[in-house]
This record gives sequence, C-alpha cells and structure tokens, in this order.
Amino acid sequence: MRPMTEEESKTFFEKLIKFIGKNVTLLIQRKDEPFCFRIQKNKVYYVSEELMKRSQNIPRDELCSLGTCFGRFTKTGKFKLNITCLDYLAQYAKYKVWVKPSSEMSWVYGNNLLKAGLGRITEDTPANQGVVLFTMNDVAIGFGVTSKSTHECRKLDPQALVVYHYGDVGEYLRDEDTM
Amino acid sequence: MTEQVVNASDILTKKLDGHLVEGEDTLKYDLGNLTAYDESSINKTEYRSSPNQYIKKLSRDNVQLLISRLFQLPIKEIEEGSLALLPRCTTLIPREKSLPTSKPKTRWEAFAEIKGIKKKKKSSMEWDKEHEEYRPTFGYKKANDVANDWAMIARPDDKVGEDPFKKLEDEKNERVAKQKKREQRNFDEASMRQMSNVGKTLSFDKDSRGQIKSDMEKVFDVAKLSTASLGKFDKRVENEKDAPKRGKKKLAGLGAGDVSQESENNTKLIDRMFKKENVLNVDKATRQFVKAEERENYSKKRSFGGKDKNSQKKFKK
Repeated sequence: MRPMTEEESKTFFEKLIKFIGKNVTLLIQRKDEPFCFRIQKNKVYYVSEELMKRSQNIPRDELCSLGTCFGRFTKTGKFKLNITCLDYLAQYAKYKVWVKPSSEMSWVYGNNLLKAGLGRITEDTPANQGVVLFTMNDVAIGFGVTSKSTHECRKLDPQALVVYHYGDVGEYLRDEDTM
Repeated sequence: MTEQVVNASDILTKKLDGHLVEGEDTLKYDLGNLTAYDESSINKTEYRSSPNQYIKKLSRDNVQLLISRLFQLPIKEIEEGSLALLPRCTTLIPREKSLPTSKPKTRWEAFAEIKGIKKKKKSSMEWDKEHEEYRPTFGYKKANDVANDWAMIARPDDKVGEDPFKKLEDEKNERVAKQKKREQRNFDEASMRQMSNVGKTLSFDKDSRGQIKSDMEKVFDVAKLSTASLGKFDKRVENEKDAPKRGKKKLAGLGAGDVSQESENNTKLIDRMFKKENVLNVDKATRQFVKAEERENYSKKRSFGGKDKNSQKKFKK
C-alpha cells in the first residue's frame, strides 16, 4: 500500500473528473473524516485515514483489499474504473441518465444503452461525457459514456446507441471471482 | 497542587548500607549527564594479578557510588513512580550539526556597522492626534496619515494645477521602487559573493579544499548536461558519479506524511487541471446564441410589422 505518485494521481483524477467534475474535491476533502487514496497491487482504494493507518501493519503481499476499490491501473498506465466505486459516483454525478424498466436487464447484462431504453437524461449533457445510469426509481445501476448530446438525442431513431457501456452492477455476479 | 520533595537518603534503610562503597570518594560527577569520571590512578599490583576482576570491582564500586549519588538528589513523586531531579549538565558536549553560516550583509548593514549605527525599535502603535487614539505606526489606518485626509494644507512652494495627493502617492511609489532596486542589488551582490571562486586563482590550503571539491562537482554536473544530447552519449570518466536527478519527486515512504497535506496537494492538482480544461460547454453556448438571435429577429419583425400597421392607419385617417 502506498500513496499515488503525481503522474498516477493525474490520470486517476482525469478519469474521475469525466464523471463527477469538480466534485472530486468533495471526495478528497471530506468534512466528517479525512479520507485518502492508496494504491495496493495496481488497485486504487479510497480509505479513511484511520483504516489506512491500521492497515499499515499488514505486509503488502498479504493485504488483499481495504476501503472502497475505485479501479485499477493497467500495465500501460491507463486507469480503469471499477463498479465498486458506483456509490460515490452516483452521489456526486454531474450528468445522469435514467433507464426505462424494459431495458434495465439489457444494461445489467453488459450491453450498451439504446435510445429506446432512455427514460430521462440530464439537460445539456454533451457528447462523450461520463454519466451515471439510474433506474426510473433512482437506483444506480452503472456508468457509461454518452455517444450523443442531449440535444442530438431527441432526433435519434430508437435503435441508435446513446450510452456506451463502461460498468454495471451485473459485474458483481459475472466477475465475482476476479473482483 | 503540592509537590512533595523527599530526600532519598531518608528512605534508604540500613540494609542497603551494606552495598555502599568503603573508602574515600574520589570521583568527579556530572549528574546531569548521569556520568562520573574516575581520575585516580590504577593500583598496578592488583591489576597485574587479575586484571578482569580488578576492572569489574572498580567499575562496580564506581557505579554504586554514582547511583547512591543519584538517590541523594531531590525526588519528585508522580503517579507512575518517583523521579530524581537532575542538576544541569557540566560537561560540554560538541554540537551535532556544523555551525550555521551567517547571512551575507546588505549594503546598509555593512555601512551601519562601520558607522556604529544601531537599530532602534519603533513601537508598533503610535498616538494619533486627530483621532485621539493609538493607531498602528505603519500600514492600513496608520497614525497621522496625511494621504487619508480629505484636505491638505497648502504650502508656499506648491504649484498651481498640481494635485498634492497625486504627488504624495507618486513619491511613495518612487520610494518603494527604489527600495526594490536596492533589494535586488543586495541579492545580486550576495550571489556574486557566493560565486566568487569562479574565474579566480584558487588557494589550495586545507580549509578551502572541501569548498573547491564541491564547486568542481557542481561545475562538472553542469558541464555534463551541456551537450546536445544532454550528456547521454558522452564517455564516462572513471568513478564518475551520476548527476543528481531533478524534477521527479520521491514518494515519502509508506503512508508517510499527514493525510491533510496530501489532500491539499491533490486539490491543488485538480485546480490546475481545471484551469487547463475548457469549461465552456460549446453545445449549450451555441444553442443559447442561436435562440437569442431568433428571439431578436422575431421581436424585430413584430415591432416593424406593428409600425407598418400604425402608419397605414394613419394614412387612412
């Protein structure tokens, strides 16, 4: 377990900013308790200071996980978000998409979202913007990247792609052993 | 709160007296450092007969003496036990770090030293006659501030058409600029003095050897980087050290530093990233612009149309 280097934190925050914008600062500077990001075996964890200090007593090789996993760094140095960070993303998301009940299942099985399944979308969402997906009764079910802006979405035909799949809650079952 | 001071010798029972050393006490004590020095000469015959035993006995006796001395010190009782109050250390121990080097003097400091001018302490508050209260000597709302008055007494040497307030401000700005110049000069001179070895004949006496060595290393490091390839393809000299790496910061160990500092650094990083990023939502902006234009056109059309109708009516009348 170690803190992130400057380069790593830059790529990491760039990715987070795509989804929650300036709210990243709210994650870093919390009012209730000091939290920090730590790297353990390529994975980035969001941990409270107290937990971080306690886990320092455990050797690196034997520490499996701590706090909330936000994602991992690939071998080429890119950062990939993990579904486990959905709670925080949903809380601070700038742009949201609500999915119709009919295509909830399709999304949870790992497919992209079509215009037909689009229930609601935040106004003025630009294209290629990270969004968090909700069911119609506000349960977060994943996150993705928009392919079209809100304005363009209105004129699309129902079979067109709207949100590219990035992560969904189905991964908890599908990738249970690698999580 | 009452501090109990008990003399340890009162507590010592007679049983312990058996351990005490017989004979004269010739040790020199430095109880502050918990040390004692035995300066008496060695009993040679006893030492030769059995050196180990002699040394053991001597050191035992001396330690006993030292410890019984410690027990004679005034004692302070606390919850965890009792503490002996040690006197001041008498042995001088050399300092760990080298002596701090003095700052290079500014021109004024050097001049003042020659002339014997000493700094006078000015009090931070001064009596303001007008407001009849103490006010700060310098800075915002300072005492007897002429520039803050709404009127100024005219003087015979005032020219007509000159703004006395502006003049005051200009003079102040000039003084500030001058001081800034002086500071820069002092800084330049100080750095020149530090670089004074460059281009001069060196003295190779023992004192300056370390200085020369470190200077050489610095110059060598600079020279290494001064080729087109930043020294990448240069031949290496025997026993050459790597140039100190610049730029990349090391991680400060496992979980080191406090988290608050870390989060502050991260916020700064994010702020920097947001400065670079284009905050403008181009889509939204263009749409707003188009809408506004449409609205304007529409209102223009309406107003024009209205006028036409009115004029027609007028004509009809």
